[in-house]
Amino acid sequence: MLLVFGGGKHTPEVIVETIAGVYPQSCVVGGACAGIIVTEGSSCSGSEIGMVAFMSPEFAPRTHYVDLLAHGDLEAGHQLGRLVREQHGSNAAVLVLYDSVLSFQPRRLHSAGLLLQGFQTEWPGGMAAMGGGLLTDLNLTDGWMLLNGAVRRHAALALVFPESVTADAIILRAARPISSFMSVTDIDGAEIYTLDGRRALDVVEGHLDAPLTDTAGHPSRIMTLGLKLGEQWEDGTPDDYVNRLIVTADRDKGSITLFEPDFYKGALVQLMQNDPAMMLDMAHNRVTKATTCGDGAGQPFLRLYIDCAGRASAMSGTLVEEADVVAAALPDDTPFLGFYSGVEIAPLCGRSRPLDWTGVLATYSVRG
Amino acid sequence: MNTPVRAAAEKELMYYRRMCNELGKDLQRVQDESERLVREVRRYQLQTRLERELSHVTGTASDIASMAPLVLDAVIEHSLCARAMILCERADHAGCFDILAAAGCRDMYVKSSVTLEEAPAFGHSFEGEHFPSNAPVFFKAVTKLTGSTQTIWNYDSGSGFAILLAGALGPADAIFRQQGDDLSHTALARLVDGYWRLRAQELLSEMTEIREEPSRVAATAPLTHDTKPELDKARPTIREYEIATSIAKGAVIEQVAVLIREDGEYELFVRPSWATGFRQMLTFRGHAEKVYKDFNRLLVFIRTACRYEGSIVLYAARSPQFEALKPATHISSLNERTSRTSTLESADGSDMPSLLGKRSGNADENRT
Repeated sequence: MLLVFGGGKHTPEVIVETIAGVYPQSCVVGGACAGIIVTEGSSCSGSEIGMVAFMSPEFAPRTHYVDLLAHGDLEAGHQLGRLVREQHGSNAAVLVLYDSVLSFQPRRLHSAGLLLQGFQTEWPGGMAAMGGGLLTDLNLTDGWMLLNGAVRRHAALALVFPESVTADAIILRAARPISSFMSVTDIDGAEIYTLDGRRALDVVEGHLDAPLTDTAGHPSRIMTLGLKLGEQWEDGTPDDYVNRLIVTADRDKGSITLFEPDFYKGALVQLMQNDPAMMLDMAHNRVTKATTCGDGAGQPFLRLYIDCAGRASAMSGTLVEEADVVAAALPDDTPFLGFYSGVEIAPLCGRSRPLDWTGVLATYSVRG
Repeated sequence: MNTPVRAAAEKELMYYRRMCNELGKDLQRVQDESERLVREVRRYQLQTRLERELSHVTGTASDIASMAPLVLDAVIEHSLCARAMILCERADHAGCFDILAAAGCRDMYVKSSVTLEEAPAFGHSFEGEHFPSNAPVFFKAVTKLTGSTQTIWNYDSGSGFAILLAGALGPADAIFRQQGDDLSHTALARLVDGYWRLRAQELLSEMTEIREEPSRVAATAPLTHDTKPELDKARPTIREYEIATSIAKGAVIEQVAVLIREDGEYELFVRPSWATGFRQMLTFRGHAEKVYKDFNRLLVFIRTACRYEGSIVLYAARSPQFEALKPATHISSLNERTSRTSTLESADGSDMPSLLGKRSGNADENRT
């Protein structure tokens, strides 16, 4: 089986055809990515291709997919969960990949939150799933997926590993609050109309020196709202927040639209800012510490780095690629591949959640 | 809590909230400034990297057909563009550009050529705002060609090459705008350098041929106003370096004819001792026929550079003699185009559009 990620400037049909010409017997799954990360470096030009080949049935995953996201993310999640439940035990490691982009004009995204909610309802093992939302570029313009050699849009894919395989995650985040708590006072799905009773866009732009969006409503900068988990009034670290990227805004309505529709009326949120220095330090320190101590029981056979496209140096304002720091901190020659994603999925506070502006280093091992 | 204490506590709370927001705003401002500076440094780094990469590409490519896609690869690697094209204006059709290479056009049909009237040397268009503002027809055509309202255009009228970058609305758009102008300018400059290097190599190989002892061809009868001059159809044009080199080897210019055009300008034809007929003088770069307004300058050139002391015959426009010599540049252009097209076809076996060898023109550096 081949897990393939291709940059957005490629024609997916050509990728499938080319790979099938070389490996006619293989099952090809994967999808678009905003960039590829390998040990030698990373790039987000859209012309890259990264590939993992699972050669042994001992750790090759089985694939299940649905392509009904356009009809509803929640129902697609239910369906995917049912497919997995029918054939796998609840302790199997799962990698979930889905097409992030519903439409570019108007800018609408598929919801990983609803997809996961449906998935986890049907299959309890989904509480520890990892994965990411796939898209073609840093501007979130499109997405596509490769499902068993076919090109699909609005699809979700679950790669379920044999029960002999374990998965460990290192979650890397670096967003810090830059505002006091604000209460969500009017929200519909992912669209927040008011914060503290005022137009949400006005409130957010009150914290900025420049408009949040251009005239067409597209964001001119990366900005997130953070929802603090756990104890509200205790000191927090970046790990205590679920951050949601503001993907668009409506100047007439004064609303902002988040990447995911999982915030709710009454939630206390804060405006968050990525700290580039913290991002690089954390990438080095956490990966070094976790991999030196051993990722867990067993022999690692694959490290997959699912990195938010906003953390690429072009977007985050760093001179060093954070993904290169992660790759450099890896202690061994376990096969490593990373890709830039729209949403990252990883277990946080007991269940898998969609995370924004996060790097998730997933290590897959065979139990010893 | 009694009312005065509650009121005081609320005031204090509001004070700390304001302070928190102000500190957050300051933090963000400092970080924005830091990111801006880092991006500036990054821009220079990218520029340097691109220059280094392109100088290698353009210094080693064997022809334009193989050079153009490599240049384009380097541009999309660094510029965060959604689409990119390298175009080349046809020598015989101003405003008609062949598309030599294109990337990121998976969801659109790219024609092999396009008409872009009033192409400026540099221009960009962002969401309907054009620079320069006096070329709306051009920008309309560019928008149609790329399917994007975010475009950057760089064009070198001397060689006819142009680079067109298209962005997409979204978080990376601001960076594309910031970097795209410089990067596309650099890429075009290197591409044009590479083109001239290839042309120089061609000239060098011609020079090698010339360095061999010129074989003397018997001259026809002395030239008079009634004689119908013969054109050297195999090589109907000549440049100054060929004359200089051949004279140094002992060859001579045997006859000189001048055509008086209807606009009062003069075109020069010489019959060298090693040619079978007359050849028309071209400009230094060979872009166009050498044309004089001032007959005295023409005379100086004939007496000094050509070392010709004999009589000079002038033919009036529309005379039979004039018509016999006039097709010189046309034949030359056809010969050159045929040889270039076959070079391109042989480079990759594909049906590439013809590449201009000679650019016609009013860009005559020797015009007086």
